[in-house]
Amino acid sequence: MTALPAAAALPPLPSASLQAALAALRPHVGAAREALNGPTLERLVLGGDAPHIAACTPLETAGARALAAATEPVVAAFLDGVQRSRLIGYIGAAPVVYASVAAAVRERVDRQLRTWQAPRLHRLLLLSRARVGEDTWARLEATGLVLVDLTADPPTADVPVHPHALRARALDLVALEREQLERQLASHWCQRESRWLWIDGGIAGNLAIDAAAPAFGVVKSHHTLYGDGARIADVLALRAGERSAAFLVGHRQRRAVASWYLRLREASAGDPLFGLVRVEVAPPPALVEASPRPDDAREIVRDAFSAHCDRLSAGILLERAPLSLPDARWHTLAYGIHACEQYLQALLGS
Amino acid sequence: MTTPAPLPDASAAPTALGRVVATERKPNTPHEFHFWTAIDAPIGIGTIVRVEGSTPIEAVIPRVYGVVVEGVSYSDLPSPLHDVLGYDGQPADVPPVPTVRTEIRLYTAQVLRHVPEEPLQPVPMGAVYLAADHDVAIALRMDAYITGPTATGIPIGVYRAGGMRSPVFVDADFLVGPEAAHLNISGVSGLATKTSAVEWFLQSTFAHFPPHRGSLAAVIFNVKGPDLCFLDQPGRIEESDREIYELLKVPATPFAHVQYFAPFTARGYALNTLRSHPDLAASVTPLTWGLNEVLQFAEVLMNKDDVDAKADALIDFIRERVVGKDFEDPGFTKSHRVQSFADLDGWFREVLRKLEDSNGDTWRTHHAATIRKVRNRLSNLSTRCAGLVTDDGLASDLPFGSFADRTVYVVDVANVEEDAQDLVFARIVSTLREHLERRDLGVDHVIVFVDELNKYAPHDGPDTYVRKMLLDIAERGRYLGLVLFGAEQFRSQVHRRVTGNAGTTVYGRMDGDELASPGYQVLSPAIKARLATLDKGLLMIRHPHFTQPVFVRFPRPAIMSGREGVERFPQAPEPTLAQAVTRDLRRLDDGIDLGWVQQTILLYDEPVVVAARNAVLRSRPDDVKRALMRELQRRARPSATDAEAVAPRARPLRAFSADEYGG
Repeated sequence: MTALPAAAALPPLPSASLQAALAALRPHVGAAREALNGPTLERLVLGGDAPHIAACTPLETAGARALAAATEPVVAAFLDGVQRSRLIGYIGAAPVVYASVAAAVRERVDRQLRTWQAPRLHRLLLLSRARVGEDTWARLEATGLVLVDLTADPPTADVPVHPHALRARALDLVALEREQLERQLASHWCQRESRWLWIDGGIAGNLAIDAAAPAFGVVKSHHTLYGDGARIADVLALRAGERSAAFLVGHRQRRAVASWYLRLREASAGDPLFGLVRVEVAPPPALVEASPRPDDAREIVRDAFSAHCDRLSAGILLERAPLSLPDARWHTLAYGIHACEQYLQALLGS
Repeated sequence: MTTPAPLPDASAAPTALGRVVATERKPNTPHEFHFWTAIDAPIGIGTIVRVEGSTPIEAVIPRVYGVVVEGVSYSDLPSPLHDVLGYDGQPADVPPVPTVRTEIRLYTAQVLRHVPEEPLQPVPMGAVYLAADHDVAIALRMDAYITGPTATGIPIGVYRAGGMRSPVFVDADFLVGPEAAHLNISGVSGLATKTSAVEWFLQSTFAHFPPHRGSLAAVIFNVKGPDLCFLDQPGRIEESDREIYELLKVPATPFAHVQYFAPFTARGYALNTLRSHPDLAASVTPLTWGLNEVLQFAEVLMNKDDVDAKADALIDFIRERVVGKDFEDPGFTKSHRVQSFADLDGWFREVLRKLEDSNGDTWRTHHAATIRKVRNRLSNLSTRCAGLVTDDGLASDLPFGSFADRTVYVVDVANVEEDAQDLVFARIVSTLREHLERRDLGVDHVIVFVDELNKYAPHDGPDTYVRKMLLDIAERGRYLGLVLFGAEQFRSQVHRRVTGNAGTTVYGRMDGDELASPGYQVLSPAIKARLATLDKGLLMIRHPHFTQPVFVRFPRPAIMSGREGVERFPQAPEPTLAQAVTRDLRRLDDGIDLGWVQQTILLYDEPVVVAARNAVLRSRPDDVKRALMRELQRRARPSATDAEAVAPRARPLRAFSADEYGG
């Protein structure tokens, strides 16, 4: 018999402080009830980076590598984060955005997913301090909400005047906050656990994940494809259960990560990206270091790394079931991540 | 009587098993709420739970008790098709699935009780706990009657959930009266649940009926089979049953005091019962009635066409003026003292002869045709109920007036005709009622158990005497201490005034068609489904104190089952006349032996011997042997009546027409 989790483990709901904040903002933005019940800012601001090709450094010889799914789970837990931002209104040209960000690790115990440690949940109010005025700002601070000044940096004089630009900036800040929560959790996991953690998305910005860390990232979207023409052609031709050769991705302002493509499901309906994910792990230092080493030593490291990639890929392939339907990304979305999202959505509420 | 026991601390069960949940589409009300649990929580249909609110109302944290009436389960899949896709349409080719899908167990519970009762609000969000013993007591409002010096709780079974076993009590004031009364049990036949349950209820009631509420006996009509023929014999019970007996403080023993009654077979000397094994036969008392006992209930055996106003008037005349009195009439050859059907027939012959002699149509305002009809119908009674009704007026009856506390009186009429069953039932219940009204029965309360209620008190069909009597008990019996324990297979076919007046209603496994009838619309589909598949030994109970039905388990009665009884005590072959006379006369004189009886009755015809035996039993003489010989000799000579019957006499001048005879 399973005891239910204690209510104290969950973050407190912020309804009181949010109501107080809305009251403070009413002279500036009016009643925001309808805006709070509308679609999230993430849904309103669609779009994204334009697809492009990026160069990378090969770590293995080109060609597909056929893998069999592992028979025993390799992955012990799944980490994901969610964000939800709502536009409350505008003060002048500056938007007022209320955002919730959360992250959680869902650990698999007896084939059931449970929350590892406590989930992280932050509520933010993003607005322009210059526009709202110090009095109101002070009143908002008193509500206990975390305030983020949209126009604090760069300096007020250079604030972009386009309202949607500020809105986009707000979204970026919210995403950064979510990533921060995810990194905290990943860091805690890597400090305490030796079992593998599946992180939804890339790991390039997470300094806690080094070559010894039991964590890897899985990227489902492919705005950027890595490699030259031939290697990308190889990637797009991967069959279900095959992985590409690993390569080194040097993110700007971020640490380089080792990565490879893995086809989870056979491409259907001619979509070459169907069922395709890209795995990111921290590379062994020997493969990254610029200083030359004896070739045979590098080969040993490389072979071990290849075996490591195979093992992780086999573990990822095992996670193809159960399907994460009805999510539209079901062909690349592991059920553990799907369940993590569901959990966080429930945590944030409607 | 229930042992008063302090209720334990309510905080003894700290582990929450579920949480109340409500949405706009599925809200909670003051009477119903929803909660979810972990997949492996020991919650099921019928489980009693406790909800702990989190927000004080008027400085009190609300606590709500409920019973689960419905449950659903679903996963995060919006369509079964998605599962098909997940398995590529191959159910047998299951890939390794490292994670099981998120699944919910969502239950609906009906509220049993709010604490505090006011203000009555929708059930609050809160943690859900499995009800412990004290919770069950509070939830079912048993706390009002199972503790204290005037406790009136009678254990009816054990509520089980999550490894816990909680006693469930009914209130004696609502089972035996005076607040409410009667118990009705329904269920399909063949599972031995109804009879076993009634035996258990009686055992428990006898063990726990509070002395301050008076004395109590039971009259059981065995209308079929051997199940009730061995109530005084120990049966085999399992250890789990014994534990329930111990928990409920009911001795796991058969009934200590049981008296059996059975009529004779049509031949008049062998008892018509399955309890005829020599080891047990001595405990069966003949049940025979004479004219006196039967005439009052002639209506039971006569249909309305028989008993019109004219016939009724004549029967009343006979009952008031003839039976048991010295009756003289100017035209009669002698004075008549009618004490038996034989005497009555003689009286009728005298009346008819006088009519013939006088060439008249009426005698004392009664038309000759009416007289002939009534004579025909009454004379026929002893034939239709042969074995029960005796021609010569022998009456052997239940000990009305000296009923004993905690004693069971079993009237075995399983093998007699339906008419005779009706007569037995009508007369015994009427007599019980009369004695209870006069408070001279010997006990304060009598439980009458009647099986096959759908036969004796049908919802439709003719308005029989028996049905009227059952309706009367159901509606007014509780004021007298006359309590009806009724059983039937189909509750919907029993008269609503009988079932509706039953304070306590018990359901065993039910037939699906029966559950589809309107009377069960108040039950949820899950409750109905559970009733349709209920295990043997499980019952659903409705009682005035319980706001919702509860499921309880009762132990197998510590009584020999009918099947085991007939194997261990097989029915004895029908005794010879001498054996039967010996057995009967030994009740009066232990010195009577078979050899003497064989010698004594050797030269007499069977009817003469039976009549002589009956006369001896009726007169209960000090010298039984001499009395039997005297009766035999007296009956062997032709009586004046017999001589008269064969003597030639003048033919009537005018014969009666067939129309006059038929009325």
